[in-house]
Parts: sequence; structure tokens; C-alpha cells
Amino acid sequence: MIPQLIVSGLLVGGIYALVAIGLNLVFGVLRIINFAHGEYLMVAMYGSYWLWRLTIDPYVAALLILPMMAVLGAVTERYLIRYTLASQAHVKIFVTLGLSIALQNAALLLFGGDYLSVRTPYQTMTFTLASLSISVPRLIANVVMAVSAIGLYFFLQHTDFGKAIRATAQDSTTARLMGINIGRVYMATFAIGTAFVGLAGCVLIPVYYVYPTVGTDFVLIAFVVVVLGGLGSLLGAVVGGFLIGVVEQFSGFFIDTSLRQIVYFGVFIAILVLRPAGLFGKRGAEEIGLK
Amino acid sequence: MSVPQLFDLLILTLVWAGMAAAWNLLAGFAGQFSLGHAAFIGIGAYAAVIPAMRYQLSPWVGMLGGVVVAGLLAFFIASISLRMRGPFFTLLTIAFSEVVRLIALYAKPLTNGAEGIIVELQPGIMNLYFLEKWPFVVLAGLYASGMYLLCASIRRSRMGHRLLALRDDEDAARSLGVEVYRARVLITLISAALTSVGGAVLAMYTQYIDPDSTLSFLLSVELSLITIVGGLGNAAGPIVGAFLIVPLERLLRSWFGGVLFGLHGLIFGILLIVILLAAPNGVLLAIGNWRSRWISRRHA
Repeated sequence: MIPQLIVSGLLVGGIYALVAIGLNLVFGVLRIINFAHGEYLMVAMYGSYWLWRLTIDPYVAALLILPMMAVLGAVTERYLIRYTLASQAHVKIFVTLGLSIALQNAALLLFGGDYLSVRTPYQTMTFTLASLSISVPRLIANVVMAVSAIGLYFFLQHTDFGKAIRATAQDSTTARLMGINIGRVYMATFAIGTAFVGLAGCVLIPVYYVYPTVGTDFVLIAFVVVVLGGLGSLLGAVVGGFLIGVVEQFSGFFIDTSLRQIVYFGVFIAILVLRPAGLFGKRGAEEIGLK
Repeated sequence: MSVPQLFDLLILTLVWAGMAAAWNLLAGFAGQFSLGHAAFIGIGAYAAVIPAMRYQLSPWVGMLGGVVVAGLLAFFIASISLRMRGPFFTLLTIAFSEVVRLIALYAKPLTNGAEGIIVELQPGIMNLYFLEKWPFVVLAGLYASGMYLLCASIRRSRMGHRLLALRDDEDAARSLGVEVYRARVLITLISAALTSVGGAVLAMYTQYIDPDSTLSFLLSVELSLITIVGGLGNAAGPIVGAFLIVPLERLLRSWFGGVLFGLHGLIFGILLIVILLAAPNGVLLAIGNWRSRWISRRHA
């Protein structure tokens, strides 16, 4: 039973990681908590749901959703987030919260509160490997996560623009002095972050429902993952996602499914208090308050 | 609008004004943005109701118990988050209030879970239970005005100056001899305890509590919305904010609630963004600024 729990946990965790990567990137570079991050997941899931209704397979729909989400992210940064970056702390926190409330209710208004899901021939498909049952769409989600995370890693490490993003994350003033257009960096980072969460929406829709507040459920987990893995750490987001997935499966099995949320909020509080830098993050981030 | 409806609106507005004032003590004066104050509203509500319904204890006693429990929880949260600033503190408070909500949801023998508790007691001042609305108008009015006076006097006191100093520059405040940690723990405790009083009044007025209506994250958001609209860090801000937001919310709900589900939430989200961008220090200061600009233009 325990190996199966671990495998199921890892499979769920990969999806959490995909949601958390975008959140972490935006957190690390723009130094804001994007409370609306989950709502981008919701938007992408509704997008692929409606494309499925037009007989487009969710995985094919990803090719359409991804650029749309990137544009949506870029527009949000350019016309909303940018005006908050130089503002007081409460403006930064509450503008994305306002955006989150507005998007959630817009979805409620447009699509109603029903739980919607797609039907595909492969969504319940599983195969057995060494007596472990593995869900095919969840495995696909993990492959997508791994490929895109590795892609992002090489982009950040080895391209000029990736280096510009990392430089801005380290010290935006110095980066600007070195001739980096940090406005463009912010816009691109936000676009990449929303594209990642859009991707998460596309691989999630075959295995999960979409409803107006679906983002809240996932973004709370993503916050836990980001803090656990460490701010600004890509590796941290991936490892953190897997860890939370496994913890969730174990607590669901050994304690009670309904109590698993308490368990991961407990983990969250413990990490925030004991090691706010997370597993792979920089120490002291909680003290500078990410100004 | 009939008199009971007017009273209803007035009671809700006043209670929210008082609770937002308590939130403002921590957010506006100390610069710590809690999005977990729903936990304290809920603690106040359950503390007033459970002992009254189960052990025939006066809700006044329960309210006092709620103040103690909320204060203890706040003391704990504040002491483990002394070095946290900005978003980290916000995330921590969200986590705590979610834990409290989940406990209320699953501790069925005590809280009756998602079904909630209907409050039914012998009417009278001892039981804080009235069949008419006017006693609650008095009670809510006392709570809101008490909160306003307290905030205004804290703002002018040494404590207020210390808090504002640590909010604006913690290191400078510390170097000038402000005991930053003590001030922060104290104000978190006061803010939480006073929020729970509002939660108790709200519960006794609505005569029904469940985790959704007393502990939801949206209640924390509501407190911040009211305060930010009125004016963060301004003693009169939450009062003004409540008189704008609560009736507006009621109005939007009655216009669109039945037909266009979600429209009032959409309007509120957009309103929050617009206020933050156009008048980040609230309408009170914004009006003051426009007025002084207008006056100076007239005299120019």
C-alpha cells in the first residue's frame, strides 16, 4: 500500500508543482504574492473545457490556451500590476486579491456555479507497473511538468533574457543600471508565470472538475508548495509539489481525507515559522518582507 | 425601506465598522496585514453561542471567554511571526484562520459542523437575546463608537506613535528605543480580542452561526475592503468605509443577487482595485486632498 501511496502522491504533486512554478517565478521576480494566480488556472480550465465542447481535445487545446494565457498575463502586468509595484505594501497585496475576487465572480456570472468536467477516452485509463496502478492523464501531466520545468531552467540559466530575469530577481536597481529593461522583464515573467498555470489547467481538466473557485483550492496548496520549496527556487517548487502531494496522500490514508487540509496547513505554518526560507530558498526573505 | 430593514442595515454596518476598526489597529497602525481575522470573528461567535446553548451560560460570559481565546491565539501567532513582514505574515494568518475554520467544520460534537447552530434563548439583556431589533442597534452603536474612541486614543497615545514608527521603519524605530516586538504582540492581541467581541455581537444578532458565515476567508477580505476604502491607519476610516461598503453590498445583493449571481462580487473586486489605484489611502484622505486642492486653486 505504501508504495502505491507514494506513487499517487507524486502524480498529484507534479500538478501542484506546475501550479506553483508560475507563482514562485512571479513571487521571486516581481516580489508580489499573486492572489489571482489560481484564477488564471480557473480561466485556463474553462478555456479548455469550452474548447472540448467544440470537439477539441484538451491536450491539443493547450496549444491555443498557452499563448492566450501568456498574453493575458502580459496584459495584466502591463496595465494593472505595474502601477502597484512602486506603491505601499497594502496596495500590492490587495490589488491581486481584488483581481481574484473579480475573476471568480465573473466566472460565476458567465458559467454559473456548476462543476463541469470533460469526457475523454483516456481520462480513466490506468496501467499497472510492478503492481502499482498509474493513471495515464496524471502521468502525462507529470511529463508535461518535467519537460516544461527543464525548459524553463535552461531558459533562465542559458539565455540572455533568462539571465536578465535572474538579475532582476536578485537586485532590480542594479539590473536596471546594467541596461536591463526591467519593465519588459516583469511583463515577460508574469506572462511566463500565467502560461505555466495555463498549462497546469490544460493537463488538469481531464482529471478534475472546473468551477468558479477551483483556483482557490489549488492556489492555497501552491502557496504551501512555494513556501516549503523556497522562494525563487525552481527546484524547490518541483520538490515541494511532490512532497505536498505525498504528504496529502499519506494523511488522507492514515488519518482522514477530510483532515488532509489541516495537515498541509500545519506543514505550512511549521515551515513559515521554523524555516521561512524553505528547503531551497534564500535565508532572510521573510525579514526583508520582499520589498 | 421599512424601519426593521433600516435597523438591520444599521446594525450590520455598525458591527462591521467596529470589527474593521479592530482590524485597522493591526493593519493600519502596525502595518501587519492580516487576512485571517475571520478566525477571531468565528471564535467570538462560537464562544458566545456554544456555552449559552449547551450550559445556559450567559453569552456575556461566553463573549469574555472568546476575548481570552482570541487573544491567546493572537498572542501565539504574533510571537511566532515576530520577524515576518509583508506577505509572509499575511500568508501565516490565512493558514491559521483556515485551520480554525476546518476545526469548526469537523469538531461536530461541539460546533455541529456545517449544519451550524440556531440560537434560541430566553429574551433579555442577560441572555443578549432580543426579539426586537432596537437593542442591537444600541449594542452595535456602543461597540462601533467604543472602537472608534479607542482607536482614536491609541492613535494619539505613546503606543500609537510607537506603532506608526515601527510600521514606517522598523529598524529606525528599534534604534530609537521602541520595543518593536512587544508593541507588535500587544497590538495583535488587542486587535484580535476586539474583533471577537464583534463576532459575538454579530452571532447574537443573526441568531444562527455556521463555519461559512463566521469563519470564511471572505470575512477577512471584507474587513480589509472596508478599512482600505475608508482609509487605512485612520481612526475614522473603518467607520466611513463601513457606511459606504455595507449598504452598497446590501443594495447590490438585492438588485442582482437573485438574477445575476456573481455580479455584486465582480463589482466589489473591481471597486477594490479602483480604490487602491485611485485613492490608496482611502476616500477620507482623497476627499481631503481634492478639497484642499480646490481651495488652493480658488485662492490662487
